[in-house]
Amino acid sequence: MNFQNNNGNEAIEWPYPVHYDRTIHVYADVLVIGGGLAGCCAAIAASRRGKKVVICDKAPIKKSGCGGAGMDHWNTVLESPTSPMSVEENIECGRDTGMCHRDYIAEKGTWDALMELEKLGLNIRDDLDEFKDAATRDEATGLLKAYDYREMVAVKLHGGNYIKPILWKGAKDAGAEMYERVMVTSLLTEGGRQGARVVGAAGFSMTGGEFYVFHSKSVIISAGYACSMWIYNMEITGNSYRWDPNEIGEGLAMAWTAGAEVYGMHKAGSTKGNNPFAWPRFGIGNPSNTWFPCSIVDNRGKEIPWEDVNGNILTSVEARNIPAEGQPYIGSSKSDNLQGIGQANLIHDLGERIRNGEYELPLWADLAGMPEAERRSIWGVMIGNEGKSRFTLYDLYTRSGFDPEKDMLMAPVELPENYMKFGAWFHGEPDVVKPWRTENGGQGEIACDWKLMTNLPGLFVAGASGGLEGCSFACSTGFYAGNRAAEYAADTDQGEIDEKQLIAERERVYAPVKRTGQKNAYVSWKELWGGTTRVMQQCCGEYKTVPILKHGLMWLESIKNTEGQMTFARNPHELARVLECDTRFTVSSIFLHACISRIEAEETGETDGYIFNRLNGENVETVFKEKKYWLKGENEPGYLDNYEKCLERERSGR
Amino acid sequence: MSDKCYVVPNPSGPTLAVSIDPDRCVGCNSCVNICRIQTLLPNPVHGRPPIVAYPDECWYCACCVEACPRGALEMHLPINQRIFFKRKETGEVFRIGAADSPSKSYFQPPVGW
Ligand SMILES: Cc1cc2nc3c(=O)[nH]c(=O)nc-3n(C[C@H](O)[C@H](O)[C@H](O)COP(=O)(O)OP(=O)(O)OC[C@H]3O[C@@H](n4cnc5c(N)ncnc54)[C@H](O)[C@@H]3O)c2cc1C
Ligand code: SF4
Ligand code: SF4
Repeated sequence: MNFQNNNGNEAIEWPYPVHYDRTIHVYADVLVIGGGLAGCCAAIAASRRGKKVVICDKAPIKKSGCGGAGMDHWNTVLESPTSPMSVEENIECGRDTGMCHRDYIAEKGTWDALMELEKLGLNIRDDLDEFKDAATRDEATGLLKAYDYREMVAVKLHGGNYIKPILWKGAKDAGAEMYERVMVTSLLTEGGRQGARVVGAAGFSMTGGEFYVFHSKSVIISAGYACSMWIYNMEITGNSYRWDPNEIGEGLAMAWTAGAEVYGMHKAGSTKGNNPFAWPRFGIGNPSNTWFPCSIVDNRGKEIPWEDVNGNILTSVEARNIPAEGQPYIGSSKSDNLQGIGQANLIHDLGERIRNGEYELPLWADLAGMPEAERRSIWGVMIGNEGKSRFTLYDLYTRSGFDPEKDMLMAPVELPENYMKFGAWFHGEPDVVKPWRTENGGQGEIACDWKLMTNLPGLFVAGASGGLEGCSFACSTGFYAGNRAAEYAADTDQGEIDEKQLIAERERVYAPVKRTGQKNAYVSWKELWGGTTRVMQQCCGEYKTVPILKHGLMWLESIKNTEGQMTFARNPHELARVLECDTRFTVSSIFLHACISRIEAEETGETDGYIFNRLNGENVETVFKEKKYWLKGENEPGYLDNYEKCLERERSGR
Repeated sequence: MSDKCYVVPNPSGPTLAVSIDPDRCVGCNSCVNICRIQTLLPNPVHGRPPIVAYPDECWYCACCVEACPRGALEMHLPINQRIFFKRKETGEVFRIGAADSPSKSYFQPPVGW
């Protein structure tokens, strides 16, 4: 056996026939860009409304996207029959995200979406009674509660590894047509005009290289996150949590270029989460997320005490999952915008206590010492279903002799104070925590209205592309957007695609393959990627000023016009990687522009409402919206009224 | 007319990312067809093991491992050599993947499978 030569490093012919000059036209009522969790749900909903639906994805839909490798938490099911709080209340008391209508829509649909997944075949309940009488189990439903064992607000996604295969089959059975390994590169608008109605999209095949033109009455962007703007990391992507590497932000970039408004893009600048020092997420000893509420002991076997959000010491393992006094429920700070719903954590002055010798490093996650049901829940339900952990951790660690009944898993050695930072344990040293949004969660937020429609008529958004993170929000908004896009399509004709726009896009897409053989085409996509991340590290770091940000814009432009014109692509795979760098130019520039408008608004004191940005020709416009604009004017008075109005047609079956 | 294109399989990163046992592989390409990255490409010779073309782009999602009907494919997480665990009762310390790690007599499947 000779693994080492990788079956030979000699050049081989690309294994698929390639036809760069062929154009394939596809017609749809509803086009879904990105067949991840949100995209599949959107396709199912729109197909059921009798529409011809086309989904395209860079990857095989059965396993594509962030959800394709598994899931363990289904968050925020406030519409469950026993919910401790209504969605209305949760949103009213919650954090102002600048788009609370969108968050409301997401929260409203999570329970129904879970029930829908079950109908499609996902095994969500403890049907084998493995957790009978365990505190995690909700006796009425057989669901497994996460974080909070008194209230059911988050659910452990029993069977979560299968979420994508189930949705893929659901979409297929509903009649959606799938175009896999097709990378969508731009939106097509009426008359080719920016800001006009969206009438389709263009892309190309990552196997055969053909040019695709999708004609569609409405379009949904569900292309996931916008990542990798700050960090060039090749071989180490697998170690850290980084979102699906296909998610560079084409959805965001194409919406922006077409004139869509974006929101919150100034919240950028951290390099945390993807750094080369990161550990396999979930694969090290720690007490949070997938491992919540695992006991942690020090190197001498002394257990670290836990405390609740009020600072009271918890004396039993069970108490970690019971809301503290005054807490309506225990949630996940990432999904639930409510204050004070945080989880119990290790004692707050642990860092100090380590430094003064009370506890000795390294720390160990004491699975062996956990009550049996909790051990089986962490290692069996969570590690068994969470993304990238079923085979990578559960199988591999087991094969290596790790026995949850007998063993404790080591936590990385960190600055003692770091042990109090949520998730920081995964990220490794040196610590690069920054106060703004992490690249890890760096989705670009395409703004939308009560129908999840953008300011471009016919263009909808769902899932992480719209800032709606997590599997429950992605699925919930997917179903919702699919229905709204189907309704839009029912009322409209197939728009005209602008020939000039198509020709220009074709030229842009195939430019890198035309350079093959040219002497100066020696730049690979990796160099281009590395170059843009350098710009962002330098000019969009923690310390930001307008001149630095403007320098960044100039620098990006310069790379784009120089090295960007020297990049080669030897086959359709490499072509996709080069075009992803074009996406990075655009997404990075949005970040820079958004930061500039933010600083300028602060200087002029216009910080009361919300700042949106959009492209108008060559210029970037700042759009101010007043506080709570989503409940003003025609959207008065309340959340539920708007929601009900949007669901009217769906309910009456028209 | 089709355009002639070439692949120059990249030298691997820290590990080979994925290795395929040619004695077990039947060349069904199930792994190729599920890989989100195109790390794996079909072998030009029909029935032969896939080419590990872009190991440096692997996401280590193990979807290929899951898809292989023959257990012919192994994924090598490049960081696994660094993680330790400790047997609670004896205090012995082992490393995931180390030659001297204890053997386990049974494999309990995870929940929900
Ligand atoms: C390892 C891991 C574990 C996670 N665990 C949890 C969890 O337990 N609970 C939870 O709530 N959340 C979890 N998340 C987050 C969750 O997976 C995401 O928030 C969710 O998948 C977002 O859904 P989405 O549909 O918006 O995007 P995705 O599901 O990521 O889908 C986006 C799709 O768009 C496609 N695409 C991108 N660009 C293009 C293009 N140009 N052309 C065509 N297609 C394109 C991609 O290939 C992809 O299939 C986890 C994420 C990861 C990576
Ligand atoms: S681990 Fe995932 S990304 Fe890597 S080769 Fe296998 S399927 Fe492809
Ligand atoms: S799935 Fe397994 S048997 Fe099939 S080609 Fe891949 S390695 Fe070979």
